[in-house]
Amino acid sequence: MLLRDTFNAIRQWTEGLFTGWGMPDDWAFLTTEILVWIVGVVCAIAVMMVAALVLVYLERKVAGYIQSRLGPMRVGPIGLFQTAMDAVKLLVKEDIVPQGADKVLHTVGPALFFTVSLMAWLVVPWDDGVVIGRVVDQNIGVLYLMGVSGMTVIAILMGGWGSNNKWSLIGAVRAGAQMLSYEIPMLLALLCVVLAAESLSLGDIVGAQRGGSLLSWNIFKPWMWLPALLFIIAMFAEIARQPFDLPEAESELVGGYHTEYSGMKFALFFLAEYANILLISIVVTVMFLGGWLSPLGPIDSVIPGVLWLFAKAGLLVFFVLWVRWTLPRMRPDQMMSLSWKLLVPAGFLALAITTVAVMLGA
Amino acid sequence: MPKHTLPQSKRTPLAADIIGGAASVLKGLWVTLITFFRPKVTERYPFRDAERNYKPRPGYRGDFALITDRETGNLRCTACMSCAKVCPDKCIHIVAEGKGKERKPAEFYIDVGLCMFCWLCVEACPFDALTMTPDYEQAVDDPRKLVRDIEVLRTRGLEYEDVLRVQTAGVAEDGPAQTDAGEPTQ
Repeated sequence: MLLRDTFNAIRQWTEGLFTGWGMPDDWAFLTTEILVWIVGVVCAIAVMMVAALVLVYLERKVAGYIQSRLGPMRVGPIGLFQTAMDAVKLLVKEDIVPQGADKVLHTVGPALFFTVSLMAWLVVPWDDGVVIGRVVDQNIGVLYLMGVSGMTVIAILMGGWGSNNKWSLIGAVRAGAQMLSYEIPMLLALLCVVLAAESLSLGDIVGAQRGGSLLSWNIFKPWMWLPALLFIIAMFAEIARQPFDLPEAESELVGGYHTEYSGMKFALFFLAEYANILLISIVVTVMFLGGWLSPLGPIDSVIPGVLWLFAKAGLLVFFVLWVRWTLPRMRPDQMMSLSWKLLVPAGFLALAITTVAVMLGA
Repeated sequence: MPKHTLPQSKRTPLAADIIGGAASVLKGLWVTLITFFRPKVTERYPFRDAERNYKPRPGYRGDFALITDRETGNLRCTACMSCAKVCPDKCIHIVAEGKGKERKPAEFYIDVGLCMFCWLCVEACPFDALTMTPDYEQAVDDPRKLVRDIEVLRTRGLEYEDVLRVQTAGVAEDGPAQTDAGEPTQ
């Protein structure tokens, strides 16, 4: 509540300030929105960076622990500074552009990938009504998310084609096929949630899961189980993580679409990839696990909702890391047939079930 | 003509496939999860406890030592040059001083970087003055630091005195070799 009230208070005050200076109301609104966007984008970049740093460290520790070993331990206490040092190393590395590479595509690829990842943070609801892009979220929240995740495909294809490298191209094309194929089950699952919440806004979706208790979260409603399952499977494919990490396929394609990258450009790909894991965990939390809602129900007005959001998303992040070090990689044909032959029909089935459930007044 | 048909592959029914697949995924996840909480096998070298100190077997060919005679307090080495002559890598350099009974090494260098640890120098020494200790941590950041001088060798000899006494039990002044039963061999 504190965050929301502070946030709204600041917004009101800023608008009041502009109207006090003689600006017409709609201009004041727009200017406030733009200021909020600017500050919000800076915060989002900060969150992305921190998230990526923390996640890379966690990934290495979790990987180690699952493999009965310790992971990074020497750089800082229990290895906490490892990623920071890795980032420093990446920044001072020479920026290599392969011979014959398309310079524009090679450079724009990682930049676009990072930018697109950043764009998605615009609609994340941190607390009740606390959203960076309020206008976007209120009108087209979910649609915006899907559009943005579509654009990551372009960035990857840029990276793969612009590297002038067969392996990169294969990796990029696989990534493109994978991400596009799994957009559809993802969308169908999201549509179920949107149908139940009767709104495209992520803020409203969380609001629709508000009830007396834990049980009003989407995940506890039986007709949401299939959409949740579909979304979680599609989630792994969208962020290109095992078992769907064909684009990287470390043991096959060296690095896939980011083979030919070093230094800052690689750092951009790398950081955006890991920030995406957090982002999509937050999306799942918002859609199915009640977003910033506290499991203790409305009694809890002490712990800010944003902490609950991160706690739940954190669990999902652990799940993503856990799965990576457990499951083997899927073949491209297995991956495609899973999406088109199983998940898409299942998605339609889920949509049908949800429609019936909603019509029956759930 | 006989009709050539491929043998029909028996596909599992879809439901069974899905359930079987899901079950194996969950089983795998369970295994990794419990491994997550189990003790790790990493040995935290070099931060290790005294008990877990890795001790090589007796006779391990680690770094060199010059043995000090317990009675006189001097090195056993008389600078006879036997070890320097026999060394295949020519890594031992000795400068002698004194004559007759007073002869001893003024300078004694072994370049461990050249050494191939063949043990010929230890065998060649008529006075059992030179030997190799179980000291295996020889990594340095500069090859010049691999040249061991007489003081280093003397110190190491004193450090490993007990270990070496066990290793060389029954040789030289200790008398004939003792068996485990404690009886002298014939």
